[in-house]
Amino acid sequence: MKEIISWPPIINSDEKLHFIRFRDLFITAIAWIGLVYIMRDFIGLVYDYFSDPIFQLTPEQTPNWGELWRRIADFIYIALGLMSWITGLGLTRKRIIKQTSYIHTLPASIEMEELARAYGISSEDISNWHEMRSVNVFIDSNSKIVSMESNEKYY
Amino acid sequence: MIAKFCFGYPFVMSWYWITGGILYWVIRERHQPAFTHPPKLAHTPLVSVLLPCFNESDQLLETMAVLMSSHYPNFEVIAINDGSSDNTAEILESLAKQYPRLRLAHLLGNQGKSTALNTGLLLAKGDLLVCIDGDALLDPHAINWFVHRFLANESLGGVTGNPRIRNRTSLLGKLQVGEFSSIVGMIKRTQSIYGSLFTVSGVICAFRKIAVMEAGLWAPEAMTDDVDLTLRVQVRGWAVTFEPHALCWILMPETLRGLWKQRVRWSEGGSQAALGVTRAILKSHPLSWSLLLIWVNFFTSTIWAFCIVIWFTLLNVTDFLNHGPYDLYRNFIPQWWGTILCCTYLLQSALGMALDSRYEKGIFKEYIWIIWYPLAYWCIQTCSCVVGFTKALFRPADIKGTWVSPDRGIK
Repeated sequence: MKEIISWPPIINSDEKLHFIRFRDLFITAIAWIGLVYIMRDFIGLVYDYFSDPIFQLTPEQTPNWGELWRRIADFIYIALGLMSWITGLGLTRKRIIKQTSYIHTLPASIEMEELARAYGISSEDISNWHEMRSVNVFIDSNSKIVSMESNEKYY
Repeated sequence: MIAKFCFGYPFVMSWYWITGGILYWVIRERHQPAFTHPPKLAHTPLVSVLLPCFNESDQLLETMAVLMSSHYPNFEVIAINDGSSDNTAEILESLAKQYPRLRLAHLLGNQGKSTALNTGLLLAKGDLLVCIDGDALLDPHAINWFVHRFLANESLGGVTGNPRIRNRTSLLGKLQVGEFSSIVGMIKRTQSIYGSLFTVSGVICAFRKIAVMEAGLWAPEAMTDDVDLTLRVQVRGWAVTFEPHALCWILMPETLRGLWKQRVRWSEGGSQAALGVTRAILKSHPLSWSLLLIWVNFFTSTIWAFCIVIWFTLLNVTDFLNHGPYDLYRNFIPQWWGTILCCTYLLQSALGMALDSRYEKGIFKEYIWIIWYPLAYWCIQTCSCVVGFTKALFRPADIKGTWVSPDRGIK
């Protein structure tokens, strides 16, 4: 059984084999490099745009903007529509979402009779069980609680 | 058309979750104090913490010690030993001598988590219930944050906390840190804007007792008791929300096998619950439009998973038949749309981590591992969704849910 050593209780890979840590780092670095490689044309475009003359693309680098827009426009319109909708909803429900002031009176406690009705057990039994610190619970094949008996030999 | 849907849906939804996540932060989260300084409470009603345990002997001492150090002044803990075959019962009995707040229920035979929680509810003296797993470490301030939400909203039936990953010994563990911030956290923030959630996280959640009773208690036949109860509580008209300040440190699978089993179970349970609640949502009066929205979103995601599996399989079979096996690798390298999706996800992750950096300092150290999500990890999610949904369709209605103890990290 473990004891708490520190908080937050993160279990990290400090005690793992150096080989495993190196392997994880190595393949992850390869994955990032792979992504940069796949995006090389786009990165080149950004580099060209911000290099001298700044905010201009050299003509041979300029992509076919019309074709790009044709491919992506529908999805951007749908995304913008949904983003506007959720923003409008958020602003409409702002007061409820922000709600922090406390209600004045607490709801009434649940009566034993309500519990008894929900479980089909007498309220006297439930009241007794509430006073027990350790119980053995008997359950039938329909997952219904049938009875409880005190297991308080330890206390 | 299918190809357009396959690529367009995650792109559109990613921007939707980003907007919702940021909006929730702007409207509520940024005005709140640090999670270590919860607001002063007007009342401190008795809270019953339900702790179902099944073979938790390795974790119980740690879990209980942390739980008992909670800063909330008025709480009891009810540990329900669900017929454990290890020495969980003996450990609990010795802990009960040490901690006067602890009460115990020993179920005779293994009955499943739902029955264990129903037993806990019956024994609970408090009207507010906090439920955590036997291997989860509840932040000492979490109960205060839950009570803060219940005291401010009478119609709130349930609140989910903010699960943080403890075990980060392998690539899979580290990757899930980012996943929980960028996917789980962003979706819960967005759904909180319309006042309904698809699910509370069963590992850290709180309910008003009356809401659980009105919903008909935890269902023993539910594969995922948390999704099932969340939906039924909302169908009864209760609101459910997300409280990111209520932290809980959890263990997650760190092997592919463990992760696959967990995700298939989540998907099967989610599908079972969503299918089961369909009629109730449609018949709700007035129509629960926010729940309907979540329901539509769930099934669109499921259809998307089926579409992408079918489309990608057809693509590879066609290429194999036309060009042989040597060019197939090209289909696995992100092209134009794949790269756009990858970059969008990386942006979503960065923003998700930025939102969660209030709760976990140094979380950005884990950003490096997030690259695996768009490159490979999403395939596990998608395939588990397809398998889980299919299993849910053919699952007999009367089979009881069982305890699943996932691998809890590499020892």
